[in-house]
Amino acid sequence: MFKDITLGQYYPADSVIHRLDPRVKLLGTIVYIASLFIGKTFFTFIPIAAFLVMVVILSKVPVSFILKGIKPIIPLLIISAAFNLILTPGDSVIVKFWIITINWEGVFMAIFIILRLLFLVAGTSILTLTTTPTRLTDGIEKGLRFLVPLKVPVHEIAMMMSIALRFIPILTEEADKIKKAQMARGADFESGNLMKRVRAMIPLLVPLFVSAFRRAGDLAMAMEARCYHGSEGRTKMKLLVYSGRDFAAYGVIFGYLAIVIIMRVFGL
Amino acid sequence: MELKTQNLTYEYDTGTSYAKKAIEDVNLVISDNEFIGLIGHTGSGKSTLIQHLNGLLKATSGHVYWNGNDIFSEGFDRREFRGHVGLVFQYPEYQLFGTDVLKDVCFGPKNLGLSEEEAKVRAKEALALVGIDEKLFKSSPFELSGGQKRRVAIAGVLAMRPDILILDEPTAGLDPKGRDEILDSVSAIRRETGNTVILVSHSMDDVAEYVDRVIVINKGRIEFDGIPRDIFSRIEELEEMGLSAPAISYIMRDLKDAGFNVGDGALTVKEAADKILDNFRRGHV
Amino acid sequence: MSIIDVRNIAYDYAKKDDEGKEVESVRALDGVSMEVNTGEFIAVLGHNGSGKSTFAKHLNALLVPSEGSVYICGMDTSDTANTLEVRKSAGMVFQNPDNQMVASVVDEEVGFGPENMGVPTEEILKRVEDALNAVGMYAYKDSSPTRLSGGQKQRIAIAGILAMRPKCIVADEPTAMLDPKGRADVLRVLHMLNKEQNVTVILITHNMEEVIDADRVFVMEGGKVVMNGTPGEVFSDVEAVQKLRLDVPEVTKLAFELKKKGLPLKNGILTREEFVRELKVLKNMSGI
Repeated sequence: MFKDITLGQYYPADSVIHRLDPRVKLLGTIVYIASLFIGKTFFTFIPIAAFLVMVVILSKVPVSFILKGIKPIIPLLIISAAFNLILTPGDSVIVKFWIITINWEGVFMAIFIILRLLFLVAGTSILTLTTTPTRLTDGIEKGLRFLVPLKVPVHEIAMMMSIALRFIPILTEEADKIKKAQMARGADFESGNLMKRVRAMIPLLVPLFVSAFRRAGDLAMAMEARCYHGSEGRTKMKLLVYSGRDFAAYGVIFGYLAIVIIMRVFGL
Repeated sequence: MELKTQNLTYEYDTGTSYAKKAIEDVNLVISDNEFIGLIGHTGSGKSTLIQHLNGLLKATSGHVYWNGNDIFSEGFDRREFRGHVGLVFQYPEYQLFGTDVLKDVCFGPKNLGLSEEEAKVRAKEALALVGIDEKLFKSSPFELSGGQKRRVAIAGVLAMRPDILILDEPTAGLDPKGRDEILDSVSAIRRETGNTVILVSHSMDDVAEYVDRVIVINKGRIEFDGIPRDIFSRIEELEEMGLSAPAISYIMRDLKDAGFNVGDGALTVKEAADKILDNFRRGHV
Repeated sequence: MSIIDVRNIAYDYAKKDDEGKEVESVRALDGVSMEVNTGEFIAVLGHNGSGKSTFAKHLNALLVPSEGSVYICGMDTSDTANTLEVRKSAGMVFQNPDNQMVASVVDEEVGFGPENMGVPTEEILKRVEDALNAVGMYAYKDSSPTRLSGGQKQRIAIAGILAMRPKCIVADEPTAMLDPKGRADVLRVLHMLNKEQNVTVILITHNMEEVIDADRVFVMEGGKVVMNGTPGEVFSDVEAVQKLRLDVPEVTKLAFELKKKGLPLKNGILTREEFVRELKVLKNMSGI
């Protein structure tokens, strides 16, 4: 179950998307998320889908990889679809039993929400799949540099993010191992009511936290031993410099945003 | 008691281009009162294999039988079965979570449905077997030394009174003192309970010293299954698999090459010393 | 001038109870001295709790002594003004390969140290390339460390130190979590750096086989150095080493056993070649 989490995983490949400046990809992701909420009709999924398909093809990330990232959110999809199905007001009643009424408006809303969430997860995963955590944090660090005079610890935030992303795969693997080890001692993670299941997580979570703290202590020492002392006097191995394709990508991103806004304005 | 595997094969990412067989066509019979060493280099499939032996992984094809019953057949109680085939993972101390040592070790027996009292009896018995002093029962498991933590973790599986105890590299990362304590505990377990123990190890010296049967796995297949003496005489074949023989085997081979008549089969310091002395004595007669 | 000069140091740490009050002061190091010259390969041996890791941390200014002093390239580690320079001179590799990696791509990981030191970008790229070539991992420069084996990760960690161009590498049980192949690879790299690049190596270990090729061995127990000398000298007293609950190489054990039973072998035989040679001499003498 833990292995399915693709959040923060990097897929190494040599593609245009991989080579883009992380700042471009960050802005692109923000625009993409915004576009999902700007759109109010099913028609907006046409440009959204087109944009996503284009990016996925260019990124050379296998579709199966992106689909794997969707698997863990299926329960969330079902819950939000169910709520919308039941709670959306409308007149075109399809079925009615007990206190529950299902109408066509609800069906549309449920499908709409599922699509929106699917596109959200699939699209945002592209960012981390094609950007190494270090590049991503470099992008954030440089992109947010205008906040430094306001005493925002931009370097520290970026470093923390980078380390968190680096340890996600390690900790998910560890969680898998601990889960199996406790199952070997007869633990049962799959049956029982909610309370029982939550309690069953204790033998998993306690060792996982202990391990995370131990690793954090080790890492802090290793960083210190390698002369880490904050951003002061620090240089960069990989500099962020915009190239032609980055400006072209900005063009595509704003063009896309314009299309989505225009569609909204015209009620499509 | 009999644990048997039949044509066991496990494939990762079936159907994709990444598909890879972690183990292939494994046939093994494990019976009462055996001391088995399982060796294979990293990635040979030994971890995958042992996870099949207690039903944590389900084979892509093939079967595991416990006393003649397929462990993945309808109605087979796998949780109870895991109490019979106890698996201690590598670095087992990372699974400790209890507020004190005794409570942690009680976790397994309680999962088997035993009462608090009965679980405690078993836990104390298991802790005694691995040589953990009663004074430590109320300590937090996180305050113990590395070697102690690991022995507590082993006790956590032992307290389920398994018929077969599988230990995945139980001495990894320990210093010689910690290693000796673990191996002494394993010997004590063998002596006191007569249970079958499967020791997964990288240390050929340890395997040679302790076990009665060696299983060698390479690229997911069982290459050799026999007594240590026979298997460790095949130095070249073992090396081809990225393994080695015990240090003593190499010394004896070098002596033979140098013209000493020391025969075959010495695996421990004591055996080797006897053979060499023999050689010198015979020379004088 | 010696590169490492440890003068009679002691290190105390406070043991605290649950409320954080100091219960007792524990002496982890007690009167340790050591002088190391440039280009030496030193092994520090001892079981867990012997103080060897605490000692290692003193060489990198991660810890400073409670009493006595440590000089690295003539710099007193207790003076915080020297801390960064000390860490540049004596780089440190740790036991757990996963827990010492900051970056998610190999080359960025190796570049982390030089970045912290403020090395210019062009120079970092060159150093990273050199360091990865030195440990034989250049082909993996764009890989993610999670996909590498333990031995490969440790070689990356060594490259990360090398890129800082230190005079000395302190490796704190770098092989403890590795399989035999990874162990052999890491040792080979450390010896190669020592011979070809004249890097001073301090290897902290509890594995005997790793000590045999060192120039000098220090055995620690209870925070003190209890034995020191060449590997041959230290292992000549098999029983003393075993009393410290440390291992002795199998061949040394065998030679010792034969000696006890009356064969006139010399003390401290460490390798198979030596053993066979000695036995041959005996055989010729006895005329078999």
